[in-house]
Amino acid sequence: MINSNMESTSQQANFDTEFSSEYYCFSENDTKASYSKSSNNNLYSDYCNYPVARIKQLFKSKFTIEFTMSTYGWFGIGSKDIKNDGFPGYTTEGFMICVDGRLYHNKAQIASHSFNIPNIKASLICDPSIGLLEVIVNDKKYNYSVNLPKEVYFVVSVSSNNYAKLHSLIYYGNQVLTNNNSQTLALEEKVSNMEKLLLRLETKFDDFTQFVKRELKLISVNSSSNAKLASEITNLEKKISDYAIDDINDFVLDASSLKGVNLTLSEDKYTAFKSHTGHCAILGSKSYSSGTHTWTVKVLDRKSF
Amino acid sequence: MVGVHFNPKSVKTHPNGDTGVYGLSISNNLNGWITKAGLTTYKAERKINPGDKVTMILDCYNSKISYIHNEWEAVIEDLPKNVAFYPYFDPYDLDFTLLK
Repeated sequence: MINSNMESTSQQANFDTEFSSEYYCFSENDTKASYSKSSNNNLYSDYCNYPVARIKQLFKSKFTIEFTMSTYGWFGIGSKDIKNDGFPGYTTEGFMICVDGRLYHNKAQIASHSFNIPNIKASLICDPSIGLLEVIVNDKKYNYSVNLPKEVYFVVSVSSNNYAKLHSLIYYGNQVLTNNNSQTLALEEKVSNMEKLLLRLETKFDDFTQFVKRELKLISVNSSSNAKLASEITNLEKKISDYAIDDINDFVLDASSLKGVNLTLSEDKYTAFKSHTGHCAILGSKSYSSGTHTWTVKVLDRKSF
Repeated sequence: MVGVHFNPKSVKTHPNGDTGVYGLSISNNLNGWITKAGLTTYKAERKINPGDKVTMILDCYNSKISYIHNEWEAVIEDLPKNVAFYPYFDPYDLDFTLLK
């Protein structure tokens, strides 16, 4: 939808609840976004612990938005390709400003000002058409010189016990696009699933390469005769065959096998979350009595409860 | 604990004393101790930090499990023969994900 009004327009800013309902709770007529939970993305935990909420509008030209952050959090600009599952400042799609003035983009601090805005109203002025990005705190302007995307959202990213509250939105430009959320979410989910599958495939091939290298090394060290070498090679060929046909998608964690408490599984049953220290046991969904099988476990977070 | 268990009907909450468990502890003070048939050897320290990956290779031909980490490797040999192994996990105080 295109609004071609050249005059400035003022309205109450609202969050796009559909975009990040998985990770945020929305209240006060969708003007307040409170952290709900982290994502299950396989990346580092501080990415997952800062999911994204964005406003409804995608801007091509100047806008000003007034907002309040709670104790700690990040606000800023996201491209039209921004994802909802983690901290945008760790990606190329986000320009995230901390409540203390630091600006993160692509996992690096690229600019900084010194201010402190928890629980006070602040404003962000952005004009992607000329690369303008400013924050106004107590009537003082702080300018950030960055290369912005051509189309941007205002976004916030907070962790547990924190929230962001939106106030007024003024836009001056001649185009404000309203995103098709359902379609975008469906596409993003497809991309996310493909990325997860790709990661598993990459890991599997890495494991496979390591496995073959180790086995070949053992053969060259231990073989004392051609007959023995031939036997070992045949054995390795069978192992490789077994390994290659091992389907990566038919193994998951089996929730019904869980012994103990304080463990929950992600929807895809590849990830386990602990809510309290303590022993528990969970098995995989398949058993193996022959062949060679490989699993790679990534430790996401070690918690002190 | 990342390991295997060959008797799913007898799985216990705690790996110690669970005779079906063979594996490497990746919980509890970052140690990486080895448990065989429910008995844990509290010796080598193998550091495992958040973000680390540990690959477990179950080799049923040679009745062993190999572990590969960036900075160390470990092997558990003499697994029981003629049994089926289920991958076994006891995360204790950490969140983890399977990359395969």
